Amino acid sequence: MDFNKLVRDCLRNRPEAQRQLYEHFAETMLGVCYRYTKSIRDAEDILQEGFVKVFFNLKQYRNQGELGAWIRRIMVTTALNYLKRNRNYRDQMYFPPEHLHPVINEDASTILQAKEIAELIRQLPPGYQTIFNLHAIEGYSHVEIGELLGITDGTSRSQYARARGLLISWMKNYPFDKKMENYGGK
Amino acid sequence: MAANEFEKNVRKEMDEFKLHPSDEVWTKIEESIRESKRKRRILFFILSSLIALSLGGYGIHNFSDNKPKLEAQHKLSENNRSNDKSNIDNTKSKEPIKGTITIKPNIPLENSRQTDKTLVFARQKGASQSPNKNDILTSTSKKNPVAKDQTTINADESKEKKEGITDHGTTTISSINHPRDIGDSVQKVIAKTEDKRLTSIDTTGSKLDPSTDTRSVQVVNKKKSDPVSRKIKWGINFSAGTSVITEDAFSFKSSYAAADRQYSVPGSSPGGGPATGGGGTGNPSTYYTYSQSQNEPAFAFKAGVHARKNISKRSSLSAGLGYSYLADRIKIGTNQSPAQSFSALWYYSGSPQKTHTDHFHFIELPLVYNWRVTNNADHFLSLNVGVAPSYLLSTNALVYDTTLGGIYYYNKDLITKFHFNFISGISYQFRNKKNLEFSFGPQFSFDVTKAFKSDLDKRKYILYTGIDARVFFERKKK
Repeated sequence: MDFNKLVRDCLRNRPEAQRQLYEHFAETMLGVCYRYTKSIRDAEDILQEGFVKVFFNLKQYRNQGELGAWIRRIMVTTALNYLKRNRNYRDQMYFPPEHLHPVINEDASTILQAKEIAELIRQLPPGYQTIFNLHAIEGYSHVEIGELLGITDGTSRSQYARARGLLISWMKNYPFDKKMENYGGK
Repeated sequence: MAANEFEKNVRKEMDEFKLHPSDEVWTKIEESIRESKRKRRILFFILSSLIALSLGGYGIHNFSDNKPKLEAQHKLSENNRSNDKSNIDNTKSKEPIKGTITIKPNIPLENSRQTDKTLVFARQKGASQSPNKNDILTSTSKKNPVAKDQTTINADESKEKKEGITDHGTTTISSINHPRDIGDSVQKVIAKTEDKRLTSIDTTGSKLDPSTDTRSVQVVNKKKSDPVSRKIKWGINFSAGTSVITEDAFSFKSSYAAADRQYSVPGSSPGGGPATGGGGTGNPSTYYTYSQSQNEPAFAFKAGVHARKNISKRSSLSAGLGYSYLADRIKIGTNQSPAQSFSALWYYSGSPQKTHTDHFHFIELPLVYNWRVTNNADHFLSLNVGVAPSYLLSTNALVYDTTLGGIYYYNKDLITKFHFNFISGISYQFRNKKNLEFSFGPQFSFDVTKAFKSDLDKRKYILYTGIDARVFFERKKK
């Protein structure tokens, strides 16, 4: 697909081009949004908001870098804003200063499918979930995460280590046991 | 390494993770885009109108002021030349250079009412005498009540001598804070000649003697009397432009976005693919789904007669009776034989291949409020807003329906007869030598009544945009 032409057509406000761009990236981006939320409805809200931003800011994309990565970055930013804005998430996203937890070098061979991993990530408490997504999947450094979430990089590291440990233990005990399902994140 | 492996594996799995969003998401995105574009368009329209008005007002203001000023200067120069011939007594002043020169204006009787203000024209006399290096125009009525009907000129003659001003030096003062009419531009011109023997008196407030220490200065007041004529003016108007039926009220966009969506009727497949459905016959048959076509603007015009009455100096009301022809173009399929199961006598279906123009013939009663933006009463910009109830006389408009996979058909019962429009526009108005008034400018008419009673047709509100031209006739006085 010629993304340059597609972007040009979108900038000319051609509905069919906008639709094409959406259809090409919607599924992947919904996957991104899904990992940050607790419900598919919220994920779709973020997707919608993100794509509106994409179309309004498309002129800022100057064909530098991959279009998918650019859209993905917008989705992540939109998701973070959504979490901060939405009270259900905001109230649960607390980042207490914790002692550093060493990263467990356990071999958690991920024999799980993508969907299952995504579901496990979504079971994490919102704070862990966000930091894990940002660091492990999006590749943000802890310093960057600290800037994004307004926390110290130490807190980010600590939260990530906990999130990672939880995930690994859940993966080993997969399928879910009752204990994990009821995990409240407290 | 195990630590990195875990992240790698998770990242790899997550990159492949996809979920299919519901159709509702795209619909909402589309609506958001459309809404935002509409807002941007309205904002752009308002901003461009404001800029145009500002530029137009500025240009007209300047244009209207320059000419009279020059004329006035010419007149005054002539007057002053004649005044120069008379002897002006300057013996009272021992220091003529430092004094304030008091000049008694020759005010025409007809203007005397408006020139009860005194002007002081102080020219630079050096730092010791006047800190203000620029010419200052102030009212002297506070300082010197005696000088109420005088124009005082504080002149630096030595400077003039240096500069060698010898002939026809004229100074123009333009500003007047007339308490009665601040908004109107009043031009007063004081012509100062080369006469170096101007009568001078002390500036410290010594009593001025207008009979001896004055020279004539013509103060020409170019203020327009501009009385508010309460007479009703009659006129004719003609407007030509385009019209289109939009999906939203106060929108400039046709219903393309909605038309782009394929309509799914029960038993049919979206996207124009073959579907089964009986069209009410009970026997399943195969037909295609055709969405509503994109409608496009078409030529339209309005004509009528109207009457206008001033309600204040700057505003007027006009009402009239007019005919308006509005149209809208759509793409339709081929003409089909009458359907037994359908109320319409004939209809169009199939692949859209033919352009059809919906004609609408209205009679309307516009009532418009006009507000003059600029000062000049002879040529000015006017903002016009109003309403226009209208009645549909006849039409050949086709209505869209999703029956039988999407058809266009004629049904006059589904077309709204009474409409209500909001009118807005900007016009430039001017008067010719024969006292005929002309105005022209863009006009927008937003219909707020749904054109079709059927909700299946996405076209809803008729929008008209055009250039409106008007001529007003002045009744001859008997």
